Amino acid sequence: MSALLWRHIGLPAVFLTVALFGGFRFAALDHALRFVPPPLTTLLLASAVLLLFGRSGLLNVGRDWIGPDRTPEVNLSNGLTLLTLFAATVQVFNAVMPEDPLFFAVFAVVFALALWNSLLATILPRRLVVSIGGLLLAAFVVKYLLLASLFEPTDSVTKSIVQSVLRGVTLGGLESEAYARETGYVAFGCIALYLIGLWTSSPVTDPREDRLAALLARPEALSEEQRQRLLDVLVPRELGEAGVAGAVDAEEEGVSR
Amino acid sequence: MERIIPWIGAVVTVAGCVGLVWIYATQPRSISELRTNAAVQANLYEIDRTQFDLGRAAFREGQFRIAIDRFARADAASRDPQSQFLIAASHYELGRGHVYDDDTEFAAALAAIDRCLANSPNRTFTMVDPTLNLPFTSAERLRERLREGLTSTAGDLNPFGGSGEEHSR
Repeated sequence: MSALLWRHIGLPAVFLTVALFGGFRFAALDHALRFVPPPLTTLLLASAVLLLFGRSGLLNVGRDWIGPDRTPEVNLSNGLTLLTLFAATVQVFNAVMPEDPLFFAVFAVVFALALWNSLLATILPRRLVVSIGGLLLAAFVVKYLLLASLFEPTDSVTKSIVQSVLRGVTLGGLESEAYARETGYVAFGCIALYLIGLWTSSPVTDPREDRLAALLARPEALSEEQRQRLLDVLVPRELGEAGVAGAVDAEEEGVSR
Repeated sequence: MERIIPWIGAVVTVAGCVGLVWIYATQPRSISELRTNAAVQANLYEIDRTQFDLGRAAFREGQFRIAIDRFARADAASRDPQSQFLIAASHYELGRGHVYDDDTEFAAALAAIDRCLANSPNRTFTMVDPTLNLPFTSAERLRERLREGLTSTAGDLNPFGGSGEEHSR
């Protein structure tokens, strides 16, 4: 029952909260609320992330979410939860990406390259969550700690000079509204909630699968005897190279049928 | 119960999505503005009667700046025709002159009278309150006077020219 409540009510609530507060800012001057709509770039990045979720098995729509073996209300609820996941992904990027044109472009390129690299690699679902978390936290540190402290209103003459020089050099590429520090707390909460939502929605896997993936990634960590035993199990000697190729072909044929 | 929970989840999610879009569309700048917007949306919006009465008292005493502030607080969503009419009348009182009219005050008054008419049934509004000694009772006439005041004519320089008020004082 609690799993059902979490899946149909808790999880969409978590993702909707992230979607609400991802664009939330406090203006530095008067602490007025701002709700910044997501830029189009974040929609593209979120689409790439969902594609990555699908590739890694974190999000298997047919197996875990929507399918003919489920009742219409479950399909509807799960479909809406996936919609909130997309909205939350868009907004979590909105939360960590700077609004001045120059750094926005730099962040967008870095995110795109990191996601492209992940798309070409084989990643286990839960490791993907950790990887996305690391990427978001790195962006958070750069935006809310480094850039915010560099461009916050200051009485320091040196800092003012540095700010003026940077603004001049970038030809206005660093112009954006200053936000209060509380915005950073909200953004951090958003990232944490998003990762909790992702972690809990990822399929439960056998912990030995992680160990197997680690062994296959680094076979040199095994002794010669262990490696031979593992090979004997995975690739029986009697099959040989041709036999393995034939077995793989037969398996693929069976899948396509 | 297993059939009800997904339905509840779907309804809650749809409501949440609608709320989310609404918040980003209305862009409230404070929690009180958010509350006011929600009340307007739910047809539960009411003006603050205490602030409105204080505004009327200030208007009666000729304290027009204070009156504007009170009426604005009373009608936080700028949707009450009566409050908007009195804000326009206060700006008019501050801006009207024998030699020339103050364009800044008249522009603010015109904006308020437009809001008054936009929120009035049939886009017409009349306010009769002898205790306030209003220069105009008809919103349309006040609007005409404000438009005329914002247009520069040779008559603006005539110190004996009539103000065109409905009820001259």
